[in-house]
Amino acid sequence: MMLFSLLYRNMTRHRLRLFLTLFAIAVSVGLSFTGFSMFTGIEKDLLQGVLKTSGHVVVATQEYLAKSRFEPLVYSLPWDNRLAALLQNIPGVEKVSPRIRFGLLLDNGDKNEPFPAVGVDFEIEYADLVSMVAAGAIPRGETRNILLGRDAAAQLNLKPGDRVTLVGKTAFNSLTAEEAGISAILDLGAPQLNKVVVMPLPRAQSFLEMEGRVSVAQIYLHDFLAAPRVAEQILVSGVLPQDCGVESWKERSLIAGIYAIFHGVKRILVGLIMLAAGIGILNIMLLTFMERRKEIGVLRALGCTRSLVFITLSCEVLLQGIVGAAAGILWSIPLVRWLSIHGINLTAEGTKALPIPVKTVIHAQADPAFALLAFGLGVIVSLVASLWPIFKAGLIEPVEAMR
Amino acid sequence: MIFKIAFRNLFRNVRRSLLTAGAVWIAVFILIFTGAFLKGFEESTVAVQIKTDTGLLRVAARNYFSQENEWSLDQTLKKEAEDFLQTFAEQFPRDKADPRVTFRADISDGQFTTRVRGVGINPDHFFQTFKMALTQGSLKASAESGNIPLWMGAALAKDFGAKAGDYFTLTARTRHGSYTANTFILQGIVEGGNPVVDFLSVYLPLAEAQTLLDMSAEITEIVVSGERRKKSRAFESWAAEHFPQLDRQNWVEESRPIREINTVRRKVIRILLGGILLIALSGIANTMLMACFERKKEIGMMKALGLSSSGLVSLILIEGVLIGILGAGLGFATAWPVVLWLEVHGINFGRFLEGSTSAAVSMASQIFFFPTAWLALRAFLTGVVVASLATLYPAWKFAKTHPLEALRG
Amino acid sequence: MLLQCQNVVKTYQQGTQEVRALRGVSLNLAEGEFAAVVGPSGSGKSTLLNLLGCLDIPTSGDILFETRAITRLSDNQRSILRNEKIGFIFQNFQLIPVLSAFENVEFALQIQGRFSAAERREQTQSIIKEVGLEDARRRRPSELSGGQQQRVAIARALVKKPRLVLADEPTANLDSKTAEDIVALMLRLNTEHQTTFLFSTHDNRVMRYARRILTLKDGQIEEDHGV
Repeated sequence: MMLFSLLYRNMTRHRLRLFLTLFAIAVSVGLSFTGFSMFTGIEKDLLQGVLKTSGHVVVATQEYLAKSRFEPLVYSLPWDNRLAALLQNIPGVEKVSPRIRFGLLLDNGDKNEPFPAVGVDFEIEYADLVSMVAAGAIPRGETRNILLGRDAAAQLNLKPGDRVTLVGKTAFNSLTAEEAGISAILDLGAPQLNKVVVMPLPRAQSFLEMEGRVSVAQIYLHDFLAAPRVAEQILVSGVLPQDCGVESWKERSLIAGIYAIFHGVKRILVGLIMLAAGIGILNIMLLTFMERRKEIGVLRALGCTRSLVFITLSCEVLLQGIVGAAAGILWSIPLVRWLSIHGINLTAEGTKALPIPVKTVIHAQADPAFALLAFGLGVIVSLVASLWPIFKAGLIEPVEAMR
Repeated sequence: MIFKIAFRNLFRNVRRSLLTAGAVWIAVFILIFTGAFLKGFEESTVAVQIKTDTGLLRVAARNYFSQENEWSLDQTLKKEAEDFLQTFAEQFPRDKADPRVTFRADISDGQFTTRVRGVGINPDHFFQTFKMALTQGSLKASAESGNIPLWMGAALAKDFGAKAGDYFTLTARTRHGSYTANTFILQGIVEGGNPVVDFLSVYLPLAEAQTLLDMSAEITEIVVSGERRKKSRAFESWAAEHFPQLDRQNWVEESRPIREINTVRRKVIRILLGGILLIALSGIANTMLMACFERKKEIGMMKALGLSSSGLVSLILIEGVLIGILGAGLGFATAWPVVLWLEVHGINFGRFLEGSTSAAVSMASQIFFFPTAWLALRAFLTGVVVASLATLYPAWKFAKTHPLEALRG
Repeated sequence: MLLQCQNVVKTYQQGTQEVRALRGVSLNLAEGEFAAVVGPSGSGKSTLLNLLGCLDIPTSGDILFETRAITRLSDNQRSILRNEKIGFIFQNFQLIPVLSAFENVEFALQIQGRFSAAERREQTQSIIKEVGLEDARRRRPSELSGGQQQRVAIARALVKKPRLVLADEPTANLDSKTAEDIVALMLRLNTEHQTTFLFSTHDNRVMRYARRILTLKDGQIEEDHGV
């Protein structure tokens, strides 16, 4: 008990020094917490934005996967409710979205323009579609109407209710044309995505002479990080027809590369922050303990063993680490909260230069796990940084008391 | 003499001085490293863009650039193009101006089709001006049997599994809106290190492009290239003066999106650096406080000898500045060789980039770091300034030490 | 008369206690005196020296240095006074560890700021010679013996040719032989330069050299006689 009161009094003896030590710890912990949250938010927003269009795991024929750039309709996947259900049942799967990607020419009577198109199941995608509506409404149930991206509609001066002619090439390479009504205009959140035409899957299948088939099945998971594992599972489960392949997003170099970069950068930066803090703490602790040579000498002269000195000093350091880290979390919580609500705005120009569609505002991901992690790191760094100073202090001989 | 004392005080406890300077060291290192990277990223990207595609200046008909994304063939140059090219050659004999027709097309090998950017050029002139690596075939149009040559970006060719001698059909829309197509033979495969070139572009002889698109002797743009970037201003003012009716876009504007991404990156990194500097600041302040405390008697004695408060403040501040210089110097010394090595060897991002057909801006695949003296200076000064600021408080606090401190037992 | 103390009282706080270090001290110190202040610890020797050296001001009473009342001087003015006219020798030498012996002495002059670099060096050189440290002048304090360090301190105190030199237990950390040498040195300097020396001490050997002894007890002068 005496030792603890000694501890407390030692710590508070030099108010300013204590403050600065705690300050260094608090700043690094707070920054780490903010950094974690921000980077994870970026990962999520950026990556998920990208992955939203392409899916976490993609099922298609091997040939399609190899030549996906060309969107070859001829390499299609046979699709039915049974396969859909089998895939849906794989653990971790949240949504299975069959799709066909193709090119379409839209003619509004005055002029015509080519646009990328996608056939999706409106029921499966209903929630997402609704969230993107800029004008009009998503039709429920069976429909033959299409949806247009904002920029596509603007280019051809179209609005919900208008009719437009669709011209395309079927899977057998023959030209085909039809008329369609427009139910809604969508804002897909990224400039490059807003030129798309969204067609109900059954209509796309008949338009392209692909009844009973799709180009890909895009699978969305609860946790996009589990993609490789789920891909593996699908492969071994045997539910897939022959010649079919599975690809997780991590196998697509662009996205995986960006993810790896983020992860790496996040780790490096936090490491550096902790290093800087650790050095500062090391310095302070060295000075502190050396300053107390006499005092420690006295303790030893009075009969304190080396280990007792170690323990006492370690407790002091631990306490400082805990208090400092806690302070760090406290001051950064409001910051992280603000960032998760308001985020940082990436200018639209900046995002245009990226070859992938991204959201313009990036939010931090506030997660108590990060707070805990940052806290733990702060305490550990304080302890580790103090190891050597404490060790040196323990070596002090009783004779110091006399000097 | 105060400086002498401050300087020698650094060596009193070398380990401590190093540790104190440590945080500044890290901060300066990061400043230099990230600064050189970001600048290099910008530079590499911009350089490649200029070298393989956009040149220093592009000249086109009025409103062409603002509507470039719509791929319309409405705004073209004809007579002005001839005049421009002729007078340009007279005015700047050592620089190059290439006429081009840029259009949207679909290319097919019979089995697969994909959208590309078609570029009609004068192959002899163009491939001399725009340096691209030839990975297969040749850059010269071989005067063979009526086959029209075509050159393709390397990544695109890879997707097709194409080799020189293969046939491709190019489908496009003429300026009047009707569909047109023709067959071409793959003459060569080029690689520019620029995704727009490698993933998205096919080049064909200008005359053939004009025929295909039903454009008699018209072009969409002229691309001006020169040896030095500084010349772009000369080009611009000349063009503005002699051809005011034409639109111009220089390489600076072309590279704006890239530079803006960098601004975002810089912001994020600055925030993090600010944090690290804060930590450095508190560490240095702490250490200086401790050091001053240790030397209270010495300080008191100096006061007793008559040293003024301001003299004392200078002493402490100088020590802080010296620590800053030490840390910044170390940061520089460790970062600079790394950055110089990376300037020569670079980092390859190529494998991370996949073209999407809507990539509108060029980006380089290989990034070379770009260290500048200005960057080094800035980083160095930041380190020193932070260290100095950190010692302000200790200096102020201990300047008021009373000489009596010296006399306590 | 160099120094005049009139009923000087000094009390200060130590934690929650009030300590009356000096309870009415009056004395006069003339030029060229070589005096010792003796007394048990706690008698107020250090406090008296601090006051006389203008390091501190009395709680009440007057101190006149060359007929100027230091109690009425501003902090700055006292600094200047100390700077020019008073030298100190501390018990623990208090040399700047990073400067050589020569530099330590020179520093005192540099603070004054009155001389050019050449003049400074000349004056430092001469005082270094007088205290017998010529051979050791480039060494740092850590490389000097206690006696040598004290000589440096003395040189430092004297280099600016002060009117008064105050020494707080100058021989406390020295062995017998060295202590004698130091005091003999101080006496010689006192004779040659007519600088007033006042030191506090326990040491009998030192007291033997003194020409005047002031005995302090419980904050008051008990005895004051010339020898």
